[in-house]
Amino acid sequence: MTQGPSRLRLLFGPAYWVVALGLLVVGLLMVVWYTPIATEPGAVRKIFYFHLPVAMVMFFACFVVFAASALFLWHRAAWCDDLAHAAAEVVVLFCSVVLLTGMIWAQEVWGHWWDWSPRLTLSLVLWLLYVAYLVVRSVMRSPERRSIVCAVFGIIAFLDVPLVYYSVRLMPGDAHAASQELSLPVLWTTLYWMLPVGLLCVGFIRVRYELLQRKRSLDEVARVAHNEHAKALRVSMGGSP
Amino acid sequence: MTPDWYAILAYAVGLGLMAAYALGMFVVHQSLARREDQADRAASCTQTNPETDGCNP
Repeated sequence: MTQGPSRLRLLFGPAYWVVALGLLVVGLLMVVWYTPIATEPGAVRKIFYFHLPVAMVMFFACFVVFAASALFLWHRAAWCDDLAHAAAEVVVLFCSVVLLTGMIWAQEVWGHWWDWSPRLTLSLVLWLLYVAYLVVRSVMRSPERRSIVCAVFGIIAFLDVPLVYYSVRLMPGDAHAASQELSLPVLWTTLYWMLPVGLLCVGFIRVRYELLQRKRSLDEVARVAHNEHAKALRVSMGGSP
Repeated sequence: MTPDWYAILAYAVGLGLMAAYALGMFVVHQSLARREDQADRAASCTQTNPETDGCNP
């Protein structure tokens, strides 16, 4: 079976996850004890330290899908296809977290779970685009066509990312603030959370990519074995190989 | 629900989803490991006597 380089395996071994989870625990302690409870909107403000870094890291994962898809269309290398697939799954996961934590925030702060403001609507569109990417991947039978169609889809889906990011500046009527003054504890905690969330994102993409590569190898071995068996059967029945 | 509980709910939902994804990847890993074992056993059986080493014909 195919094996990744040993240094990469060591980098993403158990120690990686211990460090990521340790940083996550420190982040949670910072949220509980280091950051102040804002007078407005109150303790629910603490969702912000998780929601914003997950959104930022999600954009990075979207870029990975975009870059891997573009590379695939250029080189037609299978590893690019697997990398785009892995990153797309992580985008759906992180976007789901962003939408759900955002809805919980919205219910407490704005009094409703959802509104059709530009940023929320475009974020939902982003989620739907990458879900559609995964659906297309699962229903297309031809591996070659699937890879090409998904690569094109991955490039087009990335066009929504700048729309989501700039929507609060370009489109009026959004409850999201375009920018905010942040106190030092709030700023440090928000920046700190980028670290464990970023490590989780990269780790998830790496592990999923490796699983997809192993599956690809196994499918190839099974295909070769099936072809050999079919050839042997034809020969034994007196036909040509 | 007080604002504290909204914050706790948000973290629980977010981290819970990530944990569920990690668990799903572990399940896929186990399934692939089983397929790899079966493939290795099938490959080692092609050159040996199926009657003596327990390989299925």
